[in-house]
Amino acid sequence: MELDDFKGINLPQAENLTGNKDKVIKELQQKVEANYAKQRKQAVYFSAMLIIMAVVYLPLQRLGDTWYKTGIMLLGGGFISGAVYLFIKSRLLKGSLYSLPVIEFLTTAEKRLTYFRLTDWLVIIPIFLALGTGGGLVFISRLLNYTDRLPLLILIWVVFFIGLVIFGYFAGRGNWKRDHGALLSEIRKVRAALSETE
Amino acid sequence: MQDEEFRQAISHHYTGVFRLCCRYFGNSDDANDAVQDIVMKVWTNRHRFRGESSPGTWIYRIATNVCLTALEKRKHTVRLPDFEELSDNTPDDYEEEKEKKKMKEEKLQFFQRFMDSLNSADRLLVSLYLEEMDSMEIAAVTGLTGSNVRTRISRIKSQIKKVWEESNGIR
Repeated sequence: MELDDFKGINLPQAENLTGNKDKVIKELQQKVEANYAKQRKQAVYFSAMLIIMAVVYLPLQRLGDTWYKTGIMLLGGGFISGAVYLFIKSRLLKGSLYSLPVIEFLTTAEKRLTYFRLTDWLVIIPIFLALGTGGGLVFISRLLNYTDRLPLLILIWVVFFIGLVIFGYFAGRGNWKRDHGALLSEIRKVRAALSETE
Repeated sequence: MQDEEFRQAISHHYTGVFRLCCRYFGNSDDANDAVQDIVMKVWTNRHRFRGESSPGTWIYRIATNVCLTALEKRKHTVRLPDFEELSDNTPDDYEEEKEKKKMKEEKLQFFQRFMDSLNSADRLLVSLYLEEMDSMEIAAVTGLTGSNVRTRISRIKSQIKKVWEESNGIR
C-alpha cells in the first residue's frame, strides 16, 4: 500500500458533492452579506456607546473643583481608550490573517492568543494609570468634604485600585485560558511539528 | 480580480477544498462546516488578494489555516462510508462489484485510521499531497521549503507502507 494509491480515490463524502456546488456557494455568499451587515451594526453600536460616554462625561467635568474635573477627564479618557483597546483585542484572528502561509499564520496566531504580551502592557499600563489617578482624584476630592486625612484616603484608594487590578488580571487570565487555551496549545504543537528540522 | 472571477475560482477549487477537509477531519459534517467557514473567509477577504500567488494557493492557504484552528470540529471519527445503490448487473458482476466496494471501504478505513494517527501538521501535508499538489505548491501554501516538504512526504510514505504491512502481516 502506497500513499499515492489514495490519490485516485475520492472520499465517498465528496463523490456526490459536485451537483449542488453552485447552490451552496450562492447561499454562502448570502450569509457573508448578512455577516457584513451584522459587523456594521456592531461598529455602529460601539461608536454610539463612545459618543454616549463622551456626552455623559463632558457636563460632569464642569461640576466640582479642579481635582474632580481632572479626575473625571482622566477617567473618561481611560474608559474610552480601554474600550478601544478591548474592541481591537477582541478581533483576535481577523479573516485577513488566514491568507498567510501556514507557518506565518501560526506564528501570528500564537502571538495574538497569548494573554498579555509586551505590547499589551505598553498599552494597558498608561490606561490603568489614567483610570487609577482619575478615580483617585474623584474619590479623594469627594471624601475630603467629610475628613481631612488625605494620606489615609490615598492609601485606601491605592490599596483598593491595586487589588482590583490584580483581581481583574487573574480573573481575566482564567477566562482567557478557558476560551483560548486549547487552541493556543494546539497551535504551539503544530508550529513545533512544522518547525522540526529535516 | 473581479468578483465574478473570484466566484469562478471558488467554484473551481470547491470540491478540492471539500476533499481536503474530509481527509483532515475524517467526516463530511465537520468538513461541510469548515468549507462554509473557508468560503466565507475567501469571499470577505477577496479584496486583499494581491495576485502574489495563484488564486488556488491563496484559497488553499485559507483552507489549511481554518482546518488547523477548527479545534472543536476535530472529532477524529472514522465513519463507514455509505454503500451506493447497486446497478442491475448479472450475479457475477454483482459479486465482483461487491468485492471491489468492500476492498475500497477497507482501504478507506485504513487510510482514515492512519490519518488519525498523524499529528495535525503531517495530516495537513498528506491532505494537500493527495490533492495532486507538488512539493513547491505545498511549500507555497504552508511556508515550508520545497525540500522540507519532500522529506516529510517521503517519511510519511514510508510510514504508511510500514503500517499497512504490519496490519496485514506482510514482512
